[in-house]
Amino acid sequence: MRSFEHVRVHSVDEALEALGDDWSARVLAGGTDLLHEMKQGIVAPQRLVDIKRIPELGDISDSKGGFSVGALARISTLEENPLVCSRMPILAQAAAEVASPQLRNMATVAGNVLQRPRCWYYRDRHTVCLRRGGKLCFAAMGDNSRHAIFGAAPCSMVCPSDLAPALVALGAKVEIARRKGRLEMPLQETFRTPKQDPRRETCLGPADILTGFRIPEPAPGSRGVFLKARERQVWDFALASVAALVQTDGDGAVTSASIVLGGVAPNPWVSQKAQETLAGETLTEEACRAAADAAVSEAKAMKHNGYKIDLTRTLVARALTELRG
Amino acid sequence: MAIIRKQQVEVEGRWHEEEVIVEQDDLAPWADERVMTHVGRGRPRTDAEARVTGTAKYTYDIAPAGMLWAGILHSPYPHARVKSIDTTQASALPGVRCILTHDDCRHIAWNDHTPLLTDIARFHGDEIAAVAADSEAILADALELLSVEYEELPFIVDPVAALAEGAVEIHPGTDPGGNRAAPPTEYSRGDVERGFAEAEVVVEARYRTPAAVHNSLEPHGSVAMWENDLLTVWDTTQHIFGIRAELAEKLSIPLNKVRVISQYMGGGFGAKNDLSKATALAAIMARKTRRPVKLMLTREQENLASGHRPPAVVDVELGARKDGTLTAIRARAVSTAGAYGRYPFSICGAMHELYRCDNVETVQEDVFINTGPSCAFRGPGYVEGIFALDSAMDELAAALGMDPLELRLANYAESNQVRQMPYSAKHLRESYRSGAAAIGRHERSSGGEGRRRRGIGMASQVWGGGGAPPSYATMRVNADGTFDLATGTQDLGTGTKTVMTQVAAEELGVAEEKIRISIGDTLACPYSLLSAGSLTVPSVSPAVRNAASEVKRQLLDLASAMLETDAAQLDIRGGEVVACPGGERKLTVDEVAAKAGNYMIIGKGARGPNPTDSSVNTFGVQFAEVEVDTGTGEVRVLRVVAAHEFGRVLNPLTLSSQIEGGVLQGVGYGTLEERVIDARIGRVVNANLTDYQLPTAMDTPEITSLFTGPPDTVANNVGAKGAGEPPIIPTAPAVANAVYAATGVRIRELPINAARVLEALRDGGEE
Repeated sequence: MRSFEHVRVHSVDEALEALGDDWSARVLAGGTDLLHEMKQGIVAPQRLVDIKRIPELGDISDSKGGFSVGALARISTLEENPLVCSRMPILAQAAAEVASPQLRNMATVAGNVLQRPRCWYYRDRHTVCLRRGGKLCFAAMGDNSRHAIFGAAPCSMVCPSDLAPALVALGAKVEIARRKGRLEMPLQETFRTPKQDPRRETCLGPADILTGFRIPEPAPGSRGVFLKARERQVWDFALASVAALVQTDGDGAVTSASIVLGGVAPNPWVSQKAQETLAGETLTEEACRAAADAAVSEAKAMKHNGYKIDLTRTLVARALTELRG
Repeated sequence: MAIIRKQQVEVEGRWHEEEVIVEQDDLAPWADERVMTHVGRGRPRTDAEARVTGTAKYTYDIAPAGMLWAGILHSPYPHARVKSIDTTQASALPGVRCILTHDDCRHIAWNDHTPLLTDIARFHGDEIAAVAADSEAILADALELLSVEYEELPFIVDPVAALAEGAVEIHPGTDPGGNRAAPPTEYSRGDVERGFAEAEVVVEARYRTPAAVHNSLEPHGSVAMWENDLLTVWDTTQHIFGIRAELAEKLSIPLNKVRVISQYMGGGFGAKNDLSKATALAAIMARKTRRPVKLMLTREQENLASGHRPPAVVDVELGARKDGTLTAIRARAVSTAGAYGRYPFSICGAMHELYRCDNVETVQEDVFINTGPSCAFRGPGYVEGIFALDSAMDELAAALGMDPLELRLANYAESNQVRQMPYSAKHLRESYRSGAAAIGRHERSSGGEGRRRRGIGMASQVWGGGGAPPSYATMRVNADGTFDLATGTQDLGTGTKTVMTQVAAEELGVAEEKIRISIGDTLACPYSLLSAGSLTVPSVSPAVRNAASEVKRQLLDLASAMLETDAAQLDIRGGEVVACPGGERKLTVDEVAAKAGNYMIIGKGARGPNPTDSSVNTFGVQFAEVEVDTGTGEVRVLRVVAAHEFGRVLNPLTLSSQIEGGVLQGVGYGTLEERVIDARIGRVVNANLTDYQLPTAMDTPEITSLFTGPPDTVANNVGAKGAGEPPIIPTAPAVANAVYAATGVRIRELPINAARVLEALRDGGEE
């Protein structure tokens, strides 16, 4: 491992000072992903800007019309926080599905959302893939059993985060600190498809710090659920996941639906097709099945990942069935 | 008195004849009516506290003053010629003490004809260079600074394709050629064509098993230190004496100048049977630098280069009459040695033995491919072979409309059909009965709710486990009535120290606490066999018993002199010398030991010969209950009932631990584990513990261990057989058969994961 400088900062401004305009300086929070990437030799920052001692970034609080979740909130905190559990159970459910208890104790919410791909070619120091500056997506021609069925070109990584689909379904916004000021934008808009940028998954630049999330209060009558399929019962990334948030009117007709998929596309995949199919419908068994079919209607299998289509269809149908109550 | 005798020896499922020197005075087996005080009791490990509190010193914990850190540079390519290695930059780095490349190791042959460090990389992970430096950080930097120019060569990673005409040759110019690691292993008995002609039902299928990596908690590695001309090596090994012999040979030094120590180790599972390159390199660099050297493999290197269970493709054809009687078994297996593997493991062995059948014909091919060397892995060959055979038996049962258990009972092998002799003991019928009752096979029919389907499957197991000579123990009496027991075996984490202490205490009639056992040191202990092939208990415990018996004889001799009575009228019970018969106390053992003072009572015990007219084996059955989510493909193994026979149970606590560990490893093999190699680039893409998935605590089924049968008094004087390997053998096929029972679809390739389940359901399932 190459040597690097470790800079501990105590405020966001100090952190912004310490970051540069290229990726040679990186923000260090929980470290469960970044340090691992450094040990694997796939990134070699010259400076780590350690933001763990910025106290206000760890808060979870009630704020006007919703909640604030600080970037440094531990995933285990999210999982147990009474506010989250009672008013955004979908987020608590997603948090409980992340990795293992040990990792949830270390890892932060922002780090989970911003973690780099788990694609085994990306993680292999020797195979310099498209996302690491090479010319090829090795997965497209290689073993792609864990890879994307949506939006897979030109890179077929999948969004590894469990929290991101839940946060997108909740309509979360992110707060970004830049030297020029602070800005807020919908989380979903921060993501970059491989077509837009094959090297980075989000629009955050090297001098940006994601400082927190603002989550609107779920509308009365809305219900959400997060489901995740995986091989192992713990410490495993999603083969596929779904965050579903549905609001119905007095007659049980769907007035709004968020169906967001994880583990199947390079970014959290908002299933417009499923959402459209549900609009105005009551959640009958048939409607759930139709929405599940719609959710995978545009999926494209590669050589080894066709099973993900069946799997995703099942998860969406189950999530919606669960929301029928 | 030494007797030279020829005998059949089984190691890891392979039989060969060898000369053994045995001693005549082996004890008779313990009598049936003997009331056991120590043996058979559930005892926690003698070193449990040291292990859980962290005071136990594993190889990694050894750090002599002035020690250097060493590491290996591995090839990133599956097949490449090393054109040049530029060490200039690495050598210039302050703190780098030694760099070795193939030029420095040409004289040390490895895997027959290749050098210790190779100039032709034959797999992703092949050893190219080694460095020793003052610290781990300097070492890491130095390895990065080695500049190697490679010429990439065409490669092949598919075993079946490696046999094809015109395939890339991995060891050109060697015998038997054509990428064959060995000539095909053929076996036949009876007339298989006639057998199939007589068959009323025939099933035929191809089964595939993955490459599985041992992933011992402790990776391979050593600390090597020279003091004058004596080399001491702390090694994580399954055979300290084997390592001593191999090191002496490779380094051209006498046996008594090498001391190998393995006090604690974090698992081996067959990957640590032989000398590893890490150990040899540490010893060479320690000699060059005159400093102690530690070389431990990284997790990635452990995964790439330290051995694995080879993948196998097994075609099985079974013929049977309508009543289920097998008329013919035909099988062809293709497996691989990787780029250098040592010898083929018997995938077809189980086809010859497990079920009664007069007409059997098998052939096994083992090929070289550009992957890491394969090696023994817990139940080598039989794990792969019985997955194929017992899956095929289940398919046959379905084709016949017969209960799978009834089919197995209808083909029960009463004797060893290969060696044409009776078994020393076989109680598999009883295991079938007790296992089926414990899982509630008849009460629980397959079913479940909605798309979550439950089913129960079974598979059987045959394996060796009889042990063999030579193994030795010595026992000394101290003046305070304590005892030093020494045997040159090693404890892989299985509880060897604990059960050997129990055996010695039982024979001697003293408390276990009075005995301190030393193992894992070639200087301090007499020879014992390697701890592999389920050998340790049946090989070493009879020697320990003989040593304790000899100590007892000498103690009673001295006691008889003290008491002026005949030694034959004395016995030792509960630490006391008592009259025999009668039982009244005469002296304590402490008093006899005190009298002896520094007069040394030393007992030596040797493992006696194996029986020549019967076959010593272990048998068992496992029943697995699974839940398959037919919507997501997720497979959960809920329960496993493991009913096995090992003869005498020395310690039910450590024995059930063996079974639980084997079952869990089998669950991993059956549902999760698979080394993934990208065939286009020839690289292992999951050489880590995130993507190579081992089962976690949460994936562990409820495991019930049942021990069947009485002590095997024909096997050896203790009556116990080895339990290391049998528990992993039937797990994966039991799971596969349970998945079939649950879903009605047959999956013939391991691991049975979500992808395979969903694909199988789509291709022909009920949904």
